[in-house]
Amino acid sequence: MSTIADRCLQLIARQKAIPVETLTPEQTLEELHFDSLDKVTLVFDIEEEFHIAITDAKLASLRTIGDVIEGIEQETKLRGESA
Amino acid sequence: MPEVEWLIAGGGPAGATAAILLGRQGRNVTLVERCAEPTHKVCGEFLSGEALGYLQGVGVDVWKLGAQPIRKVRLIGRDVIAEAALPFRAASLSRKAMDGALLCAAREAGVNLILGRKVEELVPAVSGWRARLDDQREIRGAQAMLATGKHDLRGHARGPGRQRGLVAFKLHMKLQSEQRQRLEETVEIALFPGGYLGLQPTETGAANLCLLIHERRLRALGGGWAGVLQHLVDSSPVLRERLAGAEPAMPRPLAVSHIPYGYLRAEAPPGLWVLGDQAAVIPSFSGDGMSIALHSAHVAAALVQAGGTSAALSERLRATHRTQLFWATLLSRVLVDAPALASLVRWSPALLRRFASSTRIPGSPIVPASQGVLHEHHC
Repeated sequence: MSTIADRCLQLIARQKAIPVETLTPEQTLEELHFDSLDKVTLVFDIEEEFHIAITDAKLASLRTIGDVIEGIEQETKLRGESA
Repeated sequence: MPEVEWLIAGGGPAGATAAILLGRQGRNVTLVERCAEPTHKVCGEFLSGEALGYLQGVGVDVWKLGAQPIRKVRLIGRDVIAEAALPFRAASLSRKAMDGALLCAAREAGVNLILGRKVEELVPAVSGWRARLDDQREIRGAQAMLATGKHDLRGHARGPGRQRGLVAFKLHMKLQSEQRQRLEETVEIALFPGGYLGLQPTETGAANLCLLIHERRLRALGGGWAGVLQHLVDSSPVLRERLAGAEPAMPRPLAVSHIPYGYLRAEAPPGLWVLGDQAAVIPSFSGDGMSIALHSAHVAAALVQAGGTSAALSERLRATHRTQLFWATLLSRVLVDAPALASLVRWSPALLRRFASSTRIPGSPIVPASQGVLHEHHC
């Protein structure tokens, strides 16, 4: 079964039309040329894929792919704890 | 660690204006702004009479910057629903031009500008505040202002607001010349299924298209700008005509999501002066966010001069904007969820004028533009 990290990387790769193997957690969204429109689309995809809600404060703090993965892991854990 | 008297996080309309006014009071001010240079922002770029007055008051001559006068408002659905003369003077000016002029004026007022750096953290410290920037620099300020606009600072996040689920897009577009003429001196507000937009001429010759769309509709359209654009032209023959042959004047549209429309900050952290969108978020086109931002900066500066407190600022902004925010958010929800109600103005265009008047800030002074510019500034 794919991990959260795997699924997240697939979303990013699909959005940017680049091979998933080229992505690493250290890469920044800026170096991947994520502009504001890309970020909105990515958040949509993440919310739909993982059934979580991402706040604006969280969105603003996402700098690297690692941040995105960590954010998703935190939110899914919170969702699991409150279920 | 550098120590300053006033530390302002955010160099948009609210932060830059507050910096200018405090600088003119002879205070030691440092302003931190995330953008290295003025850029396009997701914004309707509409300047009402109040906004023009406040800008003039800090020495920004919008007309010299090429601002376009706006004298009419036109409400569009599938056809033109209503048109009315605006009951106040108004203008259209890109945020890029306006923000640049404000930062220039701030520099002239002796403000220390740190551009291209983001405040990552702002926490209380011994006798003041400590800010950590994204380059890990730390600055201590005896006093601090939060003016980060649409972007929340960790630890000071706003709540969810009353109108949720909207995504805002903005794109400057070069219209065909006949359509550009139709838009002259006019702000068009167009209703479409799932949202609404504003369209007005800017000083660059392009038109500013700024729209709000509900995320459910956006997902149904494929989640991207191409789907939204197709939806606009499919929804309205007027929009189809207006946008026929239009070319983007920016490489890509800008987008912002999770905007807490209708939010009014209940209480600021003790000692933190909260301005603009961080204090109150009024929906675009049903309210005047620009005036609120500029007004909040003026109220704050006046309180500082009078020895007032940040708590007094919060209280005053809440009292001023509570009712306005309620009605503007309600109107915005009508525009998105029940546009048929909004199109009732067809039967009474005077309602459209009334609606435009309702976006004014109660009790706010309007400085007639004819008083002239206080001083010019050249960067």
